[in-house]
Amino acid sequence: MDSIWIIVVGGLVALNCSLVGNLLILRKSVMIGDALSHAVLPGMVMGYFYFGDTNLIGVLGGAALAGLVLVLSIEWLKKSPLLKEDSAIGLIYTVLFSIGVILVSVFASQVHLDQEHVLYGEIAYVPLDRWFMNGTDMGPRSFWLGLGLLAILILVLRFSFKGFNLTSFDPDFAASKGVRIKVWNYFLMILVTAVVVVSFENVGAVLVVAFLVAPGASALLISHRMKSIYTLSSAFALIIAIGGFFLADFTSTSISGSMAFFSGILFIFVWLIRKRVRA
Amino acid sequence: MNSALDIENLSVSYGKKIALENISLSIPAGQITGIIGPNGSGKSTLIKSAMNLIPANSGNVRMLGSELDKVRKRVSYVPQRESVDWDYPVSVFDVILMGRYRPGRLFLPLSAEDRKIAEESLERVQLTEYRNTQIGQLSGGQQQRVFIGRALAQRAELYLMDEPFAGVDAATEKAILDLMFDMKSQGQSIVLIHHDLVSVRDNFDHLVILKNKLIASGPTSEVFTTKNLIASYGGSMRIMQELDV
Repeated sequence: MDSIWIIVVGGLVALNCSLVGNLLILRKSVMIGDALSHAVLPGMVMGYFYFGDTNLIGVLGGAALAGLVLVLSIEWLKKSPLLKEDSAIGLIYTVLFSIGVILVSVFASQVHLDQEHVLYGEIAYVPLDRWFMNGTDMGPRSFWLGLGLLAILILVLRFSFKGFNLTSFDPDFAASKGVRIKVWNYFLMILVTAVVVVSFENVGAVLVVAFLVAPGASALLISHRMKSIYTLSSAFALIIAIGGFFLADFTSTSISGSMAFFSGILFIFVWLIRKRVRA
Repeated sequence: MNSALDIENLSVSYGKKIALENISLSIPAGQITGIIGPNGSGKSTLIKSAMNLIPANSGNVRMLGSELDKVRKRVSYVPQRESVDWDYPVSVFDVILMGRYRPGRLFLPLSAEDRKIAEESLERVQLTEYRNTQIGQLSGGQQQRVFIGRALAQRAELYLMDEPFAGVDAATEKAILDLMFDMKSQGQSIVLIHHDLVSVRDNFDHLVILKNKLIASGPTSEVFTTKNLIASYGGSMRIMQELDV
């Protein structure tokens, strides 16, 4: 039973990541996703510290605040002719992440995060952290969190499909129509922040990037339509969770690590069969 | 005469580099206007800052007699073809449909009327057979027609086009020109950035010549002169003799 919970939660993490990851890939903003996944740490630790481990709103709020600091300071630094965007990203997110790492060690006794947890996550503990409602055991907390987020994402992306497509494909044209492209960008950053925070405990700050990129990048290899990219990347996300789990089980190694590694294998596999699929 | 575009004292700079210096001009409605000038003379900057896509240091722009925000629905902007990623996973029809998107209604589905207009625009740019093709599979000329089809779907009155003839073959150029004459006959105004001096006189009613400053703006017959072209392009323009202006 525990194994099934781990696969299901891994699948939810990968699904949620791939849904927002597709948009990051198409907007060429994957590095912002990477930066966000690290930069939210100080906000999360402060959230844990002030509002407690179980108060998700506090943690999300802190993370969103840290994410906002990241995005705004990148935009501010980018204006300088001396600094390009990638340098600005690299500079700021590492500073924010390091503040987070220091905070984790300062609050180590009060907060249920430790440094290893932050980097790699620990999906193997998923079945232990359960959610009780009126004393009834409802199952792992991560499962309900991931499922709730998935429902929200599907709903949000369903209604914002046109907006994201327009502002990603041709931002100048969108702006010429009076569409607020910055607002859409912040909107996506909020979604990515929510996904990163919820996925953090399970797969950590480093591996979450694999889940953001690999399903969508693999889907883009063999599909030319937005809707089928969503479908394909979702299928790939599930394959990564299942394949990664059994890889870890077989080799007795880290589960989240194996899932991220398996995402690379999947990409190579799709790359190799791509010509046949297209033909 | 009504004007399509009025610009007063427009100045734009990128850092310390001045792209446009104190431009004032008026472009008549219902005509085809060409904007010419060498590379880096501020042609794209003029259109983009008029559309408020890049900030101006100073200046005032009016389109169709009003501020841009009041007439956005009546103005269509066609970006340079190279400005987007043609590998983006959308079909020809998807892109043309974007002409029907409206800022306040992005979360709502498009109407049957919107789809009908997009289908008609697809037909007008002769891409019906490529309706479901991914845009990266098209030739340069076809891609340019996708952009023009998207603009047609906006049903605007003023069209600002950034190099609609760049990288297109002769047949497509002819097709696009015919379309523009057709649009003009329906009372629409077209302003486009152009590179090929040879075809200027036959096709443009009005001409704007730029070299970061305004060299000339007026009826083509009056301003398309050797003096103005040398002022813009410099003495190196051998083509001047061939053009016999």
